[in-house]
Amino acid sequence: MIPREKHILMLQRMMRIRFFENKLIECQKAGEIVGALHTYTGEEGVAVGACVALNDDDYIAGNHRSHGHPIAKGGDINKAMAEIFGKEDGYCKGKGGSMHLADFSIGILGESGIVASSVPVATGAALTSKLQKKDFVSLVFFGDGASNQGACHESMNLAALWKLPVIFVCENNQFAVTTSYKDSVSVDHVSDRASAYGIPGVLVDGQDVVAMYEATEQAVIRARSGEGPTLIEGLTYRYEDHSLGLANVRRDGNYRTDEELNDWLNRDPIEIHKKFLLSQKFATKEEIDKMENDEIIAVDEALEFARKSPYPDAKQLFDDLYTDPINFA
Amino acid sequence: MIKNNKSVGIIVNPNSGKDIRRLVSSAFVVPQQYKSNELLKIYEGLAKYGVNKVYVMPDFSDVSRKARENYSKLIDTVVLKTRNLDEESTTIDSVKKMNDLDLKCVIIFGGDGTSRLVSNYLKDVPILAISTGTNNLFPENIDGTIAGIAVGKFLNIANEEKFSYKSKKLDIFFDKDYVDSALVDVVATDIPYIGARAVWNMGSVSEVIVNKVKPTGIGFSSIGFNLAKNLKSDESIYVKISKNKRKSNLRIHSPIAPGRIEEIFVDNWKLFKKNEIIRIQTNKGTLALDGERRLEFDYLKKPNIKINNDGPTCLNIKEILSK
Repeated sequence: MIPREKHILMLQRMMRIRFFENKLIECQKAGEIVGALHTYTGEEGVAVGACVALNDDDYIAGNHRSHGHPIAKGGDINKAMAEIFGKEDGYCKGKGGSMHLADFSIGILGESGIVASSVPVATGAALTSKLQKKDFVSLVFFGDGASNQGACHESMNLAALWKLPVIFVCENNQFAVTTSYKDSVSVDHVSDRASAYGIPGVLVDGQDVVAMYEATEQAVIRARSGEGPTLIEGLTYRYEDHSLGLANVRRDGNYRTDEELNDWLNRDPIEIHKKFLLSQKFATKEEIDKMENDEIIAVDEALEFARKSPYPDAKQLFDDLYTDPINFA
Repeated sequence: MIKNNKSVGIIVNPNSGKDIRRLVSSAFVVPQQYKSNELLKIYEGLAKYGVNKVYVMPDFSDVSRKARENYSKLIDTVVLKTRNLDEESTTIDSVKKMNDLDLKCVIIFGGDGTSRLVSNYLKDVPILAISTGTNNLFPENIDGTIAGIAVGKFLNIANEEKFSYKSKKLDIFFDKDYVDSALVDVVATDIPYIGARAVWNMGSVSEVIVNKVKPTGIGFSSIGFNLAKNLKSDESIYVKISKNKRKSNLRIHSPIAPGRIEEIFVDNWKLFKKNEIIRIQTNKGTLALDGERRLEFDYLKKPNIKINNDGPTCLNIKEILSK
């Protein structure tokens, strides 16, 4: 049974992601952030349900739409905001940007803009766990588009073969940029593909953070007990375009309808979980309002932190590109 | 061969066979290709018996496409239009539309949960439910070809009421307000949330009400079968699960999920009749209907359960196929 504290934590982290992303949207529209911004609003239930079911020393790896993943794992939003602003106090000293929020101390391996490239990274981390006889599991988030990539299939095959403690979480937000997964994925559900590797595949309502938690918790138990990987598909929806302003790129009009978007807005993961907390008397409306206010303040403070942080010195440009574990230098 | 232009409805649950039970038991993923092929077989049976009109529920993967294209010269298929796809509301919308179509039979392709949902909204149309889910007791475990033949023959039978039977169900009330029904079993758990829906941990189960038993049944109904091998048309079983193993007078083993045989400690159990009301004693939790957590309750809003003999009308396929 999920304890009350975790239910509360899940709402708090979903709110934190939502306000963080909304603030970034404001900043980008104001011209304060340069470069592409792939926001996670609408998909919070997937990351938070999955990450809250993990331990601090379990690993996660993300993708190009990954601001939500480190926050869901308990990452520092000051450092995340500074990184996205390209500032020295950011997670990667401001040299990684939006797609590189890594914090090994709490198991965040980082993300990558190369679609599906984090899937073998997480599989490798799971191999480490197995070879070194550690207890940690790794979990990777990837999209419906990434599920078609060779790296994804190869990783699942190897992980199944070697019974690695890895959890593959497909965030099926139904569009790869502007291509519907109906037009690009050969099966009805990405989780159907699990049977090809001989591993469990589970389809979960990604808007229900509790359902995501339960599925991940069981996958973690399976992974830690040496039974191998699981593929979880969280069916979800992103509220914004692939990256901000992308709808204008299409010449043939919108790739999705307002009606469809509204249907999903009516199944908002934060609102669903708020109602749940109230109905279970896990929290009062006043407590939820206070939490919301606290998170808004925390995000405002993160923004101020990022604004005040200096840009990295140009001389540091080539620092930290490679690790040097055996001290070649 | 068919006397009149009689039509059949088909509901295929695109999401059956994909839930968390693939992770917590030895259940397997049921791919869409399997469902698509089963539909082909059903169409073969229907076509051989002259059925020429089929209405199908729409779904994201268009699971009926192969069947309706291959049999387009023999069977006119209409894919119903609904607003959303692959959600419960798609099934409900489709069933409501089917109610207005003067259908002679609706074929349900899914599990106990799908059969329950369709039956809750379908009015006076006989059904044939075929299993594609996990622990299914209500649907028939038969090949699509045979299902198609059975439905085809049924549409050609003059005295059709002799080849179908009325099933019973369990109605759930909060106080006196009807809220839902179950076809196979109702399970009270102390899990306060619906979450991933399935129930797989006996430690969370406090009460089990079984409406239908089968020697080959898997799931919570198998607890009922352990206690009563047959149920009359007006009776069901109530089982109180013991939380204290030492105080339990009765210990049984039941296959509550594929590959999972659990030791179950029974506090007490009884058969109950149609006119009795079973009041759930658990103070707070969820009720699982036909294997899925559906209704949250607490001590202020406690469920009552009653047998209702006005359940869905089912095809008696043994009788139909023997005719």
